[in-house]
Amino acid sequence: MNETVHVLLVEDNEIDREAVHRVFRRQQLDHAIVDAKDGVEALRLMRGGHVPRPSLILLDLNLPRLSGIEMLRHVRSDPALQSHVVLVLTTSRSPKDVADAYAQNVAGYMVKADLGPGLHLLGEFLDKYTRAVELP
Amino acid sequence: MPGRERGIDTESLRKYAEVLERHREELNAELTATAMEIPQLAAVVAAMDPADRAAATERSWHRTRRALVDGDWTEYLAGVDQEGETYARLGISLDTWFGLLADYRRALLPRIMALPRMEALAALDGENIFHEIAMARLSQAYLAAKEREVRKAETEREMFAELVRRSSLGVAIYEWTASPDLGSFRLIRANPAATRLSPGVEARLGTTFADTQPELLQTEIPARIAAVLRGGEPQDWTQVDAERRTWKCHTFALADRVAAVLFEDITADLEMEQLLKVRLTQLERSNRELDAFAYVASHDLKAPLQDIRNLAAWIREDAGTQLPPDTLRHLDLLADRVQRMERLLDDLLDYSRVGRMFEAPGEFQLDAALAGVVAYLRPPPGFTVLLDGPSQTIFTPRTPFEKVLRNLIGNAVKHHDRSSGTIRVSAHPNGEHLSITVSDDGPGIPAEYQERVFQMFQTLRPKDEMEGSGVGLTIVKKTVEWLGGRVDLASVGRGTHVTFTWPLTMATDPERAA
Repeated sequence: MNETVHVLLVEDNEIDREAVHRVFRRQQLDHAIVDAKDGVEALRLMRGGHVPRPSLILLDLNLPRLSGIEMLRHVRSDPALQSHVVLVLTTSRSPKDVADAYAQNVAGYMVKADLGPGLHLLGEFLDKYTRAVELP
Repeated sequence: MPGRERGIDTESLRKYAEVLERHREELNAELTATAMEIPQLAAVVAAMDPADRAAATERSWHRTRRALVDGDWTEYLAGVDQEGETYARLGISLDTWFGLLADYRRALLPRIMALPRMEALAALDGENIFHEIAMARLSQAYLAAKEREVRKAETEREMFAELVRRSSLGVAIYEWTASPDLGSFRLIRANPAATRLSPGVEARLGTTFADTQPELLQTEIPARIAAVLRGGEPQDWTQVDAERRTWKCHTFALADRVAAVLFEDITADLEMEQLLKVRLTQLERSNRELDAFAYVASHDLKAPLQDIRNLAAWIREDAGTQLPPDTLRHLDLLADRVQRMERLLDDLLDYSRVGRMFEAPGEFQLDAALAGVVAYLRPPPGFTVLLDGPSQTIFTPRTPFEKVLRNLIGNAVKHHDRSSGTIRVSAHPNGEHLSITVSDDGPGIPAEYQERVFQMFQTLRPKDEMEGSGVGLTIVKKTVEWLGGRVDLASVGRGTHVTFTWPLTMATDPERAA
C-alpha cells in the first residue's frame, strides 16, 4: 500500500488534462496530480523535486518541444530519474510508437480511445494499480 | 503459232523426230556439254539432283515428240516460254543462247547427213522448220521476260524513290569525291524532308562541305560519314546545332564512296519529354501532398472534436439537473453533430487512403467475402442479401474489395424505402476481370441524379433524415478505378443496379497492377 502517490501528468491538451483530473475525482483517488504541458516542463519539475516518491508518470507522446519518447530517453539516462514508473497515455496506435515506448521500459501503453467515455477505465485501473503495486 | 503450223510439212517433221530419237543419247550429251560452258547454267545444273536432271530431260523430249510427231505444239511452246524466262532471269544473253543452239545444231547435222539421201532431205526440212519456230518463239519469250523484269525493277525503284520522297526523315546522300579529305563530301541527293528541315539544302546540291558548309568540318559529321565509308558499322548520334536545335542522325554506306545520312529534328520531342517529366513530378508531388493533407487534416480535426464531446458530456454531468429541457436537447444535438463530423472525417481518411494502404493480395471466395460483409453490416430483419449464381475465386487485396461491397450493399439497405427488401449480388468473369453487380429493389435513383451520386459529399436526402457523409460511392469509384476497373449505375423505375469490375488476379504489388 502506497502513501500519497504523486502523479506527473504530461499532457499538452488542457481538456485531456481535465479529463484525467475528473476521472481521479470520480474514482476518489487521493493522488496528487502534478501537471506538465510538455517534456521540457516535465523534466524540469522532476529535477526540481516537484514529483516526490512514490510516483507515477502518465505520459502523452505527441508533445510540443520535447516529445514523449525523447523525454523518456532523458529519464532513462538520468540515474536520479531512471527508476520512475511511466505509463503511456496517448491517441497514437502506431506500432512504431508502441515499440519505441516499450524499448524505454514503460510499465504500460494505453490508447485513450480504448479507455471508454471520459477515460473511466483509467480511473479503475489506476485505483487497483496503485493499491496492488509497490511503487519506488 | 497456229497460222504457221498449218503449212508445215508434218512428214518431214516426223522424219526429223526419228533422227532425234535415234541419236538422243549423243545429242543430249552434246547439248549438256555446251551448256556447261556457260557459267550460270553450269551452276544451275550442278545444283540439281541427278534424278531431277534426268526427269527434266525426259520432259523436254516428251514435249518435242508431242510437237513433231503429234503436231500438238502447246506444251512445247509453253516450255520454251518458261525457258526464255529462266534465261532472262539468269542474265544469259540471247546471243549466248543462240550460240548454244547453233553448237547443238552442228552436232546434229552430220547425223542427218549420214542418212540415205531422201530421208536426209526430209529430216533436214523438218529440222529447218523446227529450228525456225524454236528460235522465233525463244527470242519472243526472252524479250517479253526481259521487259517484265525491267518494268518490275522500274516499279520498285519508283516505290523506293516515293518512300524517300514522302519520308518525314531528312535524307541526304553524299559522295566522297577526294578521300581522305573530310571536306570533299559532295551532296548529291536530298529529299523534300531534308529541304524542309534544313533550308538551303537545295542550293547546296552538288557542292561539298568545304564549298558551302565549312562549319560542318568542326563537327563530328564528316568523321562519322568517313567511318562508315571505310567499312565501319552504321553510326547513330545526336547533334546540337548553333541554333540549339537537337538532331537525331544516322549514317550508313550506300555504295562505294557513297553514304546516306538520315536526320530528324527532335528538339520539340525532347522539350515535350522534359515538360512531361516536370509535370509528372509536379503531379506526383501534389498528389502526395494532397494525401498527406487529407490524412493530417482529418487526424488533427478529430482531436478538437473529441474535446467538444468531452466538454458537452461534462456540462451534462456537472449541471444536468439545473439545465432547462431545451438546453439539454441542444447538448444532445451537439453530441450528434460531433458524431456526424467524426464519421465524415473517418470517411475522408478512408478516401485519402485508397490505393495507399492496399495490403498484399490473397486468394478468397466471393461468397465468403459477401458473408463477412453481411455480418459486418447486420441489415435489419426483413432484408435479405443473396448471391445470385456461382461464387468466384479472386486473388486480390481483400480489404478494399470488401469495402466496395460493403458500401454498395450498405447503401442499398440504408436507402431502401420499405421495411423489407432483397439485395442480389451476382458475378461473372469477363476476360481478366470479374464483373460484379449489386441490385436492390429499393426506390431507384432518378436519371437526373445518377451522375451526381458519385460526387464527393453528394447525398440525395437531407443529412438529418439520413445518416451519411456522401463519401461512400466516391470511395467505391476511386477504389475501382485505381485498379483499372469501372463503375456503372443503372436505375429505371424501382431498383438500382450498380456494376463494377475488379481484376480477377493481380500482381503482388497493386501499384503495378493499377
